[in-house]
Amino acid sequence: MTATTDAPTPTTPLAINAAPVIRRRIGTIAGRIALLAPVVAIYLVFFVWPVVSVLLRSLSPDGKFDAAAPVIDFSNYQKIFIDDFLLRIEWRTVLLAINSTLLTVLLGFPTAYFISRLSKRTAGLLLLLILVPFWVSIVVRLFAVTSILSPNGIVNQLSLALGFGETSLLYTQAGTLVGTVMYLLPYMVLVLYAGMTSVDDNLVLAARTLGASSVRTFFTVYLPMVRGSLVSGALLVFILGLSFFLVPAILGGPQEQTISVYIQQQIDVYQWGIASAMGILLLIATIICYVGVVKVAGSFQPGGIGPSQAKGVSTSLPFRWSPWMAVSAVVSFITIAFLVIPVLFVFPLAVGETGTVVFPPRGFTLRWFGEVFTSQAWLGPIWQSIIVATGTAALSVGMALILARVTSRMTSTTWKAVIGGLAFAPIVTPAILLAIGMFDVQLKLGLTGSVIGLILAHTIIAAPLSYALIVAAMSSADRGIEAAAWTLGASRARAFWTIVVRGIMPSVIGAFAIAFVTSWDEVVLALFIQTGPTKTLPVTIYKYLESGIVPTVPAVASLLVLVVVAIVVVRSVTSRATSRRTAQLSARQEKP
Amino acid sequence: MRTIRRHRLLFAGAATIASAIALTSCSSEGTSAPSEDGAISGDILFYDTSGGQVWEELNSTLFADFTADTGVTVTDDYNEAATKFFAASEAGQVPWSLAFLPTVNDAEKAADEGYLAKIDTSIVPVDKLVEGTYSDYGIEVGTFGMVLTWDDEAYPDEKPSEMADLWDLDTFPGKRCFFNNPQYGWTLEAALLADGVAPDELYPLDVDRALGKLDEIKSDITWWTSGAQSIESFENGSCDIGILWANRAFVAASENGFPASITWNEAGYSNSVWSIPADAPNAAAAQQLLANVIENTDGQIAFASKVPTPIPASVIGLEPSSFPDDVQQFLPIGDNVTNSIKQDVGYYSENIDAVLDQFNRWLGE
Amino acid sequence: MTLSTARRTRGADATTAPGLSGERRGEVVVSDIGLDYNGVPALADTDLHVHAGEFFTLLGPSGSGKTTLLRIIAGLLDPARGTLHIDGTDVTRTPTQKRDIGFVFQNYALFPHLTVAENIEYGLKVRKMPGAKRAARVAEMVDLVALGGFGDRYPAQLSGGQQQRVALGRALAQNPRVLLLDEPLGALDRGLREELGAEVRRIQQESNTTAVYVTHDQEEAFILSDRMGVMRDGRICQLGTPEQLYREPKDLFVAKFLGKTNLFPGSLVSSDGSTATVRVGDHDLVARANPAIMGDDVVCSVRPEQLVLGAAGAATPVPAGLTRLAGAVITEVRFLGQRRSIHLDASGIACSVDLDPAAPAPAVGDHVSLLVRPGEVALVAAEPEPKA
Repeated sequence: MTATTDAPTPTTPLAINAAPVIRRRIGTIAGRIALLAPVVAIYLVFFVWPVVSVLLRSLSPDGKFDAAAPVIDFSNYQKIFIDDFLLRIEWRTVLLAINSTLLTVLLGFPTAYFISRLSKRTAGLLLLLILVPFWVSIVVRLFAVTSILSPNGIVNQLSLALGFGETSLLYTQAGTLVGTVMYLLPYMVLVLYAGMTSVDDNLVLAARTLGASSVRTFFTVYLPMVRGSLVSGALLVFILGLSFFLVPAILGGPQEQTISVYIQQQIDVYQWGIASAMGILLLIATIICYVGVVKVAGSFQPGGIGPSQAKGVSTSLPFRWSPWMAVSAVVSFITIAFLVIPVLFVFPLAVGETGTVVFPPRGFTLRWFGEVFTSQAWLGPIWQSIIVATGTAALSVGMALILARVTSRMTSTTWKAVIGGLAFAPIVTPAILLAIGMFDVQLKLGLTGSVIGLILAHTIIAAPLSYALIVAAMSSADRGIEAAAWTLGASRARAFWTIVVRGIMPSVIGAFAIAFVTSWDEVVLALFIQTGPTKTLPVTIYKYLESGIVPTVPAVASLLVLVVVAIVVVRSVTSRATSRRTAQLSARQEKP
Repeated sequence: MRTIRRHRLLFAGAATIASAIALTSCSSEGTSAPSEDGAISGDILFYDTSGGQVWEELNSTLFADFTADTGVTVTDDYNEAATKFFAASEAGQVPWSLAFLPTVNDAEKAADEGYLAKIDTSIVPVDKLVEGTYSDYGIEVGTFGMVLTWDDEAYPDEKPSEMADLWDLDTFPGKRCFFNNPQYGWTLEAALLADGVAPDELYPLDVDRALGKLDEIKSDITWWTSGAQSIESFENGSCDIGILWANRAFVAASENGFPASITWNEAGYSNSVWSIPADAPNAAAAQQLLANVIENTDGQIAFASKVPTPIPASVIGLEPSSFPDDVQQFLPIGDNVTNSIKQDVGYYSENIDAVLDQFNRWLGE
Repeated sequence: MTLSTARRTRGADATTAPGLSGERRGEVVVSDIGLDYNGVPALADTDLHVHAGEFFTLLGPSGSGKTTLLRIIAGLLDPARGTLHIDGTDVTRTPTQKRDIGFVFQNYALFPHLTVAENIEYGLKVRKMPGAKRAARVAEMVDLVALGGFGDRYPAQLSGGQQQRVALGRALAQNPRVLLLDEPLGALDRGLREELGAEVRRIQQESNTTAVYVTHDQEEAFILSDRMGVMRDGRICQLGTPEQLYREPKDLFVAKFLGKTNLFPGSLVSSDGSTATVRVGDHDLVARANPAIMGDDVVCSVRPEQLVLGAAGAATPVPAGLTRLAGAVITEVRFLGQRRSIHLDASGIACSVDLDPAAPAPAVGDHVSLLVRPGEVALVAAEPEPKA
């Protein structure tokens, strides 16, 4: 509800009243272009060019585009729509994405709801539990899942013990589904949580005062309120599920091959043409879904990702147990167990005495942990990951600030929508397509193998997330305060840094963190474009998965988990101290 | 960082971000040409498609000796397949001085495209290698044997002895493990052998017949996708019998104490190739490395004692008896391979695309 | 005067209230209701009787527990203790949706995805009212809240005042027994607040609904209320008509909270039930007795409009019916349109007097006497250290 003044005719929102003043001060179009130029340049070189490069390859039968003698040939595309085998792969891919989206919603919605109803601190802790897996490479989690789902794993053992018979899910459709849902669930919960906490509790209460039952309130008031987040979350998850290739590659058997696995296989045997065409197909499918969602939901709102969006719970709707709440609690428990158990599983895997990882572990030793700290094989990649992730985060936040600055001052809604849409395009572009295109482009620029090349590549996929957080904060911030700083004599740059950026600092930190994590856990791009001796941590782990997993891999993963747990503990202790302090403060003053 | 700055000053006007990065990536490789007296120095970046234990043991035996002799270091760059090597060569962006190409046909293809440098026989003593295990553009290494392997405890009484036993679900129950790549998995060959095709009539492969034979046990097959996964599949109970690489079977048996047994009967073996890229930044050192490796018999034995894939593939005068007892039965050399079959690389060179496509379609059904 | 609710039995209410009041309904009886937040009482055990058809206001500063009490009546909060009856029925454990109430939220809580008409229609749909009847009722409500022509708009397209009226219409559409309003005018600017306040009162009267209204703004309370209760620290300090509360505050807090007042500390000399004698400075003063006073330390509260300026000096004669309260020096004179506000210093006590602007203005620095009619002095107990 916008604050408006009462007048005979519908009035303009107050916020606009301040805008003309500011617009004049912000400077000319030329200034805006100068500000945008580096962002646009990076975007053109590392996003548009790779996509175009893949497109051109897909139009050539042998997958090599020759600029001197350009050929346009649709035989690769014909194959995609005629060949039974490819049609089956395509159908399987879509089916996997649909099933995992449905399952993710079924688990994610009650979980997000339950957490959104808890006190801020408990909710924060549960969210951290859901975020912990983000910090532990998906490669490691999937490896743990292979152990859990294998015939000797706990799922089958439990099933045998309970008399359900043989349930080996490894290399089956169900196993692939489990892995995909595990990968997607945190995204869904975070997007939904952000949407749910921004719902005004009074709306639910209002429906009750009007006589609506809980069920009716849920369907006629609550659901319409969170529909945008739900649809956006489902879209995000669907798109990620459509193009993710690690899960089917690691957990799926040959019968579970999907488009992205097929693309990778084709590239391994130098069939760039068909691989590129498949990539473009994924992109087109993605764009269609995206447009559909924008039509249905009004807009795509993935902005919920990241902790700073957690607005906390209004106290006006206190937590109360009900049958629905109990169901939500149970589902939340399942979700969290589902996400956390594979992470915990790395500990037993790390202590076995055998030279390769086996489950159950044989013997007990801690020497693998020692090896992590003494071997350059691990210290190098850890350091490399930290450098790349930090660089990515810094660059992403910089780009996001510039972009948000420009768009939040724009008056043309059309241009705003165009820029917003383009900014989000890299997230919805299938990673595998981006990877092969990026590899192409970076080879041409001589960037493959360089740290900066990887940072730029990661920035392309991380910056949109940072932008989502920052633009939301910046557009809700009071524009007047920047003008106030000018009246006090601050230069424009000074006012921007000391007032605007400081004012949205939590969002800036959140934007930095989300970009950092995105880079930290990114495998697909890094796998393709990194050459040279030192690779990032997830790629190094992946390499060991391929060539022989040594117990140092789960040892590294265990150490990462411990670091995250340490952060969680420190955070919860400090937040408890802070909340006690604020409680004392507010007790001294009068209650709100 | 200092390097960047220096270059920035030198090329002040023209230095874009991209060129600065290109320069740092070059300078960080530590390449160097031979100095005037012919001595070599710097580092060899090794395009490694084997990785894992192979790299670890190379680094502590043959490469360690080489570094001790010459001062030249070797750095590992693991890549899943040869794809990147080809892509980088095509783009003229080769940072590697030595490449581990997974198959002989990869090496032939690379040589045809002009991506490989000739072996300098004035430095590299190729005459010490068994005829047919080297070419103008590379030396064959790391022969991998694709052998029938089983969990000894699963079959306490009768032991499997030939490929046909994989189809005998009554005598040898349990899941079968095969590689999802037919060439490196001996999958089609095993099916044809089991179907009664004589070893010398295997090639050209009758793919339809092989897949028809595989259909009989298709639902009992667990497919592995990497060497690491093959022994994991045995250890986590995903299969009890199958075709494994002999060196992996050795790791399972020796290091993990897993009761893996193998037979070389009807097994296949094939080689990989070490080559020097045409644009190798430190080619002279790489030539010297090949020479050093061929002459370092003790190093070869030390390496193969840990990883029974000899490097080079066959050096004249080196027999299974030269190696420690426990590794002897896993080595794809000498008497071990008299009843084994050498994979026809020429056939795969010409037909790999078609075979793979047909196999993948069958697999994905 | 406050009705002694305790003496009236609830059973009697249940049978008499609907019968007696005819159309009037919505009697609310709160008995010993209490609630704690984290061990701190947010609402001390409280009794309250709101009569059917009455416009009742809960007035107090923020944090005084007024919203808590309102939400308990609505069923949006569960009390820890006590019982609540609406029209004689115990609804203490009845969920909100079954209480038959209307609630207007401070931020209106309009459903943003529904139009004005759909918002108003919501409660009627819930009650499964037939379509034609429902449409008629919606039209009636749209007229009642003066929003003709806005039925198809969405809340975001309305101004604050219009949104407020939608909220009111929505709460009233279902013809609730009790209309509960939680500072519904708080988000509006002053002029609009007065205008809409009058409208709220009119609509409440026309719809024959009992209203319980929460506000921290005493002017709103005066304009709207039949009766009101002043709340502080989780309890109701005083109940009564606006005039009773203004003229006869029970304690220092009520005296200071309702309107401007001048406070003169004194000590009780004697008290005989209806009148009391107080010594303020050098003067003895007769005032209305206040049974709530326990000790001897008292404060005399005199409204600025009740003070009269007289000639300086203890010996000067005092006009009939007036008593001298203190001597003072004028520090500031201000013309405020309807009145002239005089600020004075009475031996260290800052006080102010409102004069008719037509009367001659005194000058700054003049010495004067402060005179008062004895009946207009309200006596309250002194408090140790008044809170900010």
